[in-house]
Amino acid sequence: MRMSFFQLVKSRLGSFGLLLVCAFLLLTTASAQQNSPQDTVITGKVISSKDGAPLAGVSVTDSRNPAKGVVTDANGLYQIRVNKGVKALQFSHVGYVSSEVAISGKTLVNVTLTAADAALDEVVVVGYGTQKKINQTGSTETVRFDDAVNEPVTNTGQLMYGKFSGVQITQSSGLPGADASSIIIRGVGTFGSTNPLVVIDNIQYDGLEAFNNLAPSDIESISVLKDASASSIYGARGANGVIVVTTKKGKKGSMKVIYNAYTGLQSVTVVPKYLDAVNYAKLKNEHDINANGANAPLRYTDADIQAIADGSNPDQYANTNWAKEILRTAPVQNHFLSFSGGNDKTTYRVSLGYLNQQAVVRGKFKNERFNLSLNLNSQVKDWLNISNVTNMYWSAFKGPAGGADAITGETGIINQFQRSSPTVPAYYSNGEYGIVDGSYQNVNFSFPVTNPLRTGYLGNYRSNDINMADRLGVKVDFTKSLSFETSGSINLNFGNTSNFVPTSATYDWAGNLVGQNLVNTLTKGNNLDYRLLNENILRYSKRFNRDHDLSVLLGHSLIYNKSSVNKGQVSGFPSNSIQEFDGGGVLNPNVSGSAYEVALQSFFSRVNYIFKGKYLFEFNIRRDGSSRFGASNKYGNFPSASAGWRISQERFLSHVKWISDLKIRASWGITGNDNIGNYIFEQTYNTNLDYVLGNDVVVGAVALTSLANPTITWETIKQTDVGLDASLFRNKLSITAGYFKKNSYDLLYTNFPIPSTIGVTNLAAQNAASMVNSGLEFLVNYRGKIAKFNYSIGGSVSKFADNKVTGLGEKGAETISGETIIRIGAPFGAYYGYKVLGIFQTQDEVNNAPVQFGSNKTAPGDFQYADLSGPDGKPDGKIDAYDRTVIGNPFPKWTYNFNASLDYKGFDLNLTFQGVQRIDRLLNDNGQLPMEGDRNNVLAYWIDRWTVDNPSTKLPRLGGPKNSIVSDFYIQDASYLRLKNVELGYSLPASVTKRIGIDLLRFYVGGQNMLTFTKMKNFDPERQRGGATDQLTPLYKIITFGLNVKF
Amino acid sequence: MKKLIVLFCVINCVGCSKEYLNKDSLTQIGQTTFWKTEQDALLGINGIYEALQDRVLYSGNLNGNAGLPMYDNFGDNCYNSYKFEGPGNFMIANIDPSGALFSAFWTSCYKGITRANTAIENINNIPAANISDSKKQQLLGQAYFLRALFYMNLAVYFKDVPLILNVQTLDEAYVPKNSYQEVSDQIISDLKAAADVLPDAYPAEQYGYATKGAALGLLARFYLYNKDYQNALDATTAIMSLGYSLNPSYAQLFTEQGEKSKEIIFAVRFVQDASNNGETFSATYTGIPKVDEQPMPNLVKDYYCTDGLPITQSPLYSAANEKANRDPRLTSTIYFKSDTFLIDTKTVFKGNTATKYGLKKYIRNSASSSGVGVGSPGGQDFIVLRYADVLLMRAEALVELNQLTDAYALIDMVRARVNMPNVEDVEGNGLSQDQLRAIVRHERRVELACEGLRFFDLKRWGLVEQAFQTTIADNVPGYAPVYRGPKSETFPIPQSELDANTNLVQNPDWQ
Repeated sequence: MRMSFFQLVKSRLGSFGLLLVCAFLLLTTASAQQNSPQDTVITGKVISSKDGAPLAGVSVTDSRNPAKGVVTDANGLYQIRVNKGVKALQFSHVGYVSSEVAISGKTLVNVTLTAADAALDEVVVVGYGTQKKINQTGSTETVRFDDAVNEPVTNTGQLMYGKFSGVQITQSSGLPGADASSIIIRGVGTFGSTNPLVVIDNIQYDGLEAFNNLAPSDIESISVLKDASASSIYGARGANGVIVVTTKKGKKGSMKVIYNAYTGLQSVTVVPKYLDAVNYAKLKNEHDINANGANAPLRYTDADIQAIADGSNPDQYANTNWAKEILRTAPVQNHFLSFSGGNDKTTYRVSLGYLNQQAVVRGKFKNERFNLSLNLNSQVKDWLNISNVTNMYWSAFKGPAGGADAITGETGIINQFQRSSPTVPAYYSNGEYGIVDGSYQNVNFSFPVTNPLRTGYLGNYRSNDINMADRLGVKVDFTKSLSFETSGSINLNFGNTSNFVPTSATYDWAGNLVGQNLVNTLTKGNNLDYRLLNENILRYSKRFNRDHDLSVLLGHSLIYNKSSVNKGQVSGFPSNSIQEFDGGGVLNPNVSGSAYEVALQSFFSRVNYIFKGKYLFEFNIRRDGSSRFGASNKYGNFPSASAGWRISQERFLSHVKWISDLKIRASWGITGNDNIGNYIFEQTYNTNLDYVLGNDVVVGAVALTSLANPTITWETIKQTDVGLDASLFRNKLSITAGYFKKNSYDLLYTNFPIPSTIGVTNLAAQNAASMVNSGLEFLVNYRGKIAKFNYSIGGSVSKFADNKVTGLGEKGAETISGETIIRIGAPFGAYYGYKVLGIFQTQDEVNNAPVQFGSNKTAPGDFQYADLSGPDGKPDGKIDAYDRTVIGNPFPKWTYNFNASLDYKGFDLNLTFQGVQRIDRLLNDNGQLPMEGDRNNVLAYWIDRWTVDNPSTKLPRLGGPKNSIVSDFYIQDASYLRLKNVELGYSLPASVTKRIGIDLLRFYVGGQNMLTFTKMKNFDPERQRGGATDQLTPLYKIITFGLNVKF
Repeated sequence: MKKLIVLFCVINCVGCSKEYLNKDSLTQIGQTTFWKTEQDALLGINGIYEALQDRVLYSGNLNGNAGLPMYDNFGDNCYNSYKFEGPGNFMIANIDPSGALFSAFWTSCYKGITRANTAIENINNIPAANISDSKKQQLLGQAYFLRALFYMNLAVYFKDVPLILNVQTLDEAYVPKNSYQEVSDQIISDLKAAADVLPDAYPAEQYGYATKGAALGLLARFYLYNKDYQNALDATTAIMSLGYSLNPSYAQLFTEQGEKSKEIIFAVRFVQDASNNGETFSATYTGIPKVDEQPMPNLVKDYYCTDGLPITQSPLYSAANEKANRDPRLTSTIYFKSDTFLIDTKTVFKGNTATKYGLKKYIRNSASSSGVGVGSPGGQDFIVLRYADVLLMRAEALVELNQLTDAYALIDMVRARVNMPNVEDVEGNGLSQDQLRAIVRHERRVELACEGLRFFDLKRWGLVEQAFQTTIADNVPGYAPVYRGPKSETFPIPQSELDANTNLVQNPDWQ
């Protein structure tokens, strides 16, 4: 059934054929209803207690046989045929208190439904189900997304800004198709990937790609499962927290069509300011004299500098503002269309999405994304429900040769435009790209710049990422209390890339060859990753003797995942216009690839018990088995327990009217992380080696290149959580406060210095390290109304008190990688370097200070570093590697956010602010260092560097021996407060739109990253941790104009 | 509903299977299934050779830790202007035991040794049914040769190092140092064992494997280093009859066209491919030849004029045109200002190096036949040992043994290949031991310049300090070598190794 349906869907991909499928299903199921002679027909009208208006879509059922029912029409009218023995009808509707009404022989039954107190009915989505928020004992936050709201975001992760506490969301790149945010839940609890497990419509995903590539308008709710009680049901995959996403489903009633669209303009948030060419040339000379002595050969003569100043020879001595040449305003547009509806038995929803985004740098970069989703749900029989969810995306990225590497990284456009010498013109007057200036072949030969404009248009890169996920669920209700659901899911990910580097040459201003690439090369790769998931879940739920609510869930799941990558490369195509294999390329053919498979088997259970509606208990356990582990460690157990006390239900609080609901809760549990790589347990010989023999023939070679760890096992986190949920003033004000402590242990760690005399430097990862995280979270929301003015404001503050590495295992050594360290007692990956005491102003100061790196070149204008330690752990009068220390914390101490939404007479305004406080960034890349490297320009502030005439105490001299090493001088406070999203909309009055058959017509203007308050200059403060962050594509701000239509 | 229940049971039976959670690597060979056949043994032997291709060993580097082809930057032949590559900082005394070059070099040598030890242990255990005894011995011989080569590099540059001859567990790996003498004895015994079983040559498709000549040549080199002149002489005697000869063209020998020359006794093989078999020692930038390794003025001056006289004596020398009338090996080794150094783009060397000279030997002067650029990894073999070296080693041993008469002809052979006059014709034939020693050493310098042997020679001759003084006297801008005694002649044991293994003690010269 699944396969045939699946194939059907596939064959109709991208067309309205899906709609036909739905219609067909509707018809067939609708005709399945039957009449019987003992029936009686009851009619009536349902109205709302709020305003007496008729209620459409109210479900009317036989109270003993809920599977049988009808819904009210647009006028609130219904007609139901029931068995003569039926005594009562059940009326239910979202947002209203369900009501059971006795028939008492009547055939006309009119009903007034009471509006429900929304807060009490609020439901949170948890693992394998939902829970009423008031009964929840774990720490889960759920945000629902209204139909009409269409936040103009390019990926789903951005919907999460400003809405969750304890979740650090950071967008690090503005590259189309790769502009997603990292999501860290309750601090970094592992040395490996911190991505939470993502579960979309009950399918589990590694990584955030599937989540970020959902069409934002398809999302119904996003839940963040934060504590162990909430996430341990996902066992070995829940340690980083879990994000559970549900997409929108169809609802009973006539077909609804939604069309959302926006178009926008993106531009970078910050433009860095670099020195102009004259100052660049002067400072370059000054640098060389300082570095190599007074008689050092200089790059620029006085005549050269004069030529730059007067612009008389722009081919050789230009004044190029590379930022201006490279950065641009780029368009983005998005369209979304959905159809949904259904009858009592079957509901459907289909949607299509399209996103087109270009980059804020000049070049071929562009990403397009197509989305398709299908939700079907059918109550085929009273006891049988079948559902299908399909989510698909196709993301197509285009760019110049290198793809994303052409823009980011060491040789990428961003880094190159920042470092490129302004004396090189963007283009020579003959139209060729500028590569060198007139001084490049002087005695201190310099290398050509990588003209970033050229990079943006050279060659071709294409990638396609196609992801199809489908889940078919079959649910059987044995009794009202006992049900069983089995489901089969497939997640198929196919990607291909094609990279073509053409033959090319670069020339100087006079047409002399500077560099060339004589052969063109095509590299193509494809990967296929499929994941099969079977889940079988038994649910039991019953209330005993009014006071005991018990629900039990028992589950079993199997996952099989196989991934393979194939890659081929060949050079020497006869023409740069042929960019496919079989097109004549004959040189240097090469193939490569990789493959792995993973199998998991799990058993899990959850028991909820509520006594008297106020004492809440929950137990979870999951037993996971994984092929990633050796025979001795195949299975692991992940239990959790939690309890809550709804104090507001106690008699002593019942008279306190302003407390609507008050609950305290606590949880403890264990979760695991199995994201540890494959086959670590198995000792193997590396077959991927080769040597050359005979007539330059490559022959295979085999050697042992790493040592296995047969006892490898899961990373584990023990988490304790206490919290308070309060709902006050008739649920207008809701408050959640919590404290958590996460102890991570058995963390994988690889830095165990072993004697390299053993011949292998790669010791497999060991379960050795440990770390702790703790924090406080506070979330508040207020909903209010003044006359016709509705508003809600909310905010959250999270304090991350303590991210600290607590152990590295026996013989585990500190890992120092460039600018960071993994050290016991310090935050994970803390910035590590020297402390600057000040700047030497006189030779006497130099002579009297500890010897700086044994260098006799230290001079006035250089940093004086602090002598903190030595080989014996004491200051030793020498500055050397022993004097490095932790100089910065890459994690924020505080994150906070607030949002407000107001609506008045058709106007609506939504604002989301995000803030990060007390976070350090290391900025020691191009432009920030005192003119390091051959052709590197510096940021404009370096004009105030130390010189004899300008004895600065803030900036060192250029060309000093050790002024560029990692030190606290390069650490900046990257705190910021940012208006992440703002949206102002206007909906035409319903009275107007109804006339043309439209339910909603709304126009809006929106903005992302429109305002930023920060001390940081030249670069955006919102960046991932680590060094070289300014090599990433800059973040953009977007202004969008959009439209929402619903009918 | 019954059907559904049946379906459910069927699905779950998949999970009942115990095998379901057992998944082995799809791309690597399990430990227990290897070393069973002759083919396995060949693959394992190739694995040892593969270690020779490490950048820090024989494939060199540009912008990274210097490899052995760059070891003339230690001493007076060349200036390592990218000082961070190792030799540059070593020469200016700006390096300590944590220097990256030391640990990378050490690690790569022991990587090769472990692969050799693994092969020796396992090849011996391959059932006789799967491999003939002669084949087994031949493969073992190669493993012995390669193990000796790695140990020789360690012993020459680090002196006392751990001597490991078997496959270790991690617990066994915390070893102390052995004495230089112990390591030296093992190198000699391995090379003798190799020389006994290795063939004179291989079938064409196995060209590149170590031969009897390679083992004997390395043995001679090591005896010479140990000043065991008689044994060095005897080892070269055995090589003389193996059919080696000098390549007619000196310049061609250091190009891909020279890779099959009869002069080559052992070379590390490279090919320009998309896999990892390329080298970078022959790579150059397009604006400047081999920018990180620049020939020193004193080396340029040391080449004779074509009359066999030093430039200070020869009437043929012209300071204005210093490459005219000089030993042809000079212009095969070094670029002068205005020389074309990239022939396909006619790029002219502007003299824009600190020493004013550019390195030519081994450096590519055009894109490869498949169009791969001059800065990308190339396919040039690196000659570890060649016949001219053997002739000069033999000459040196004879001189040191004071058997002067036979030495002339050997030097003359080397000179004749480049049309330089005989020793007898220039210097006469009644030379003293000291005079002839100076001549052999000079010949060795100019013949083998920039092949990574200079520092090795200087150490053997006790001339390292003098080489530092010569270098300083050249007064190259930005280059001020500092001689600091034994620290300038030996590598320290890498700091990381001392940290990881507390049983190791630093070389006394570096304590």
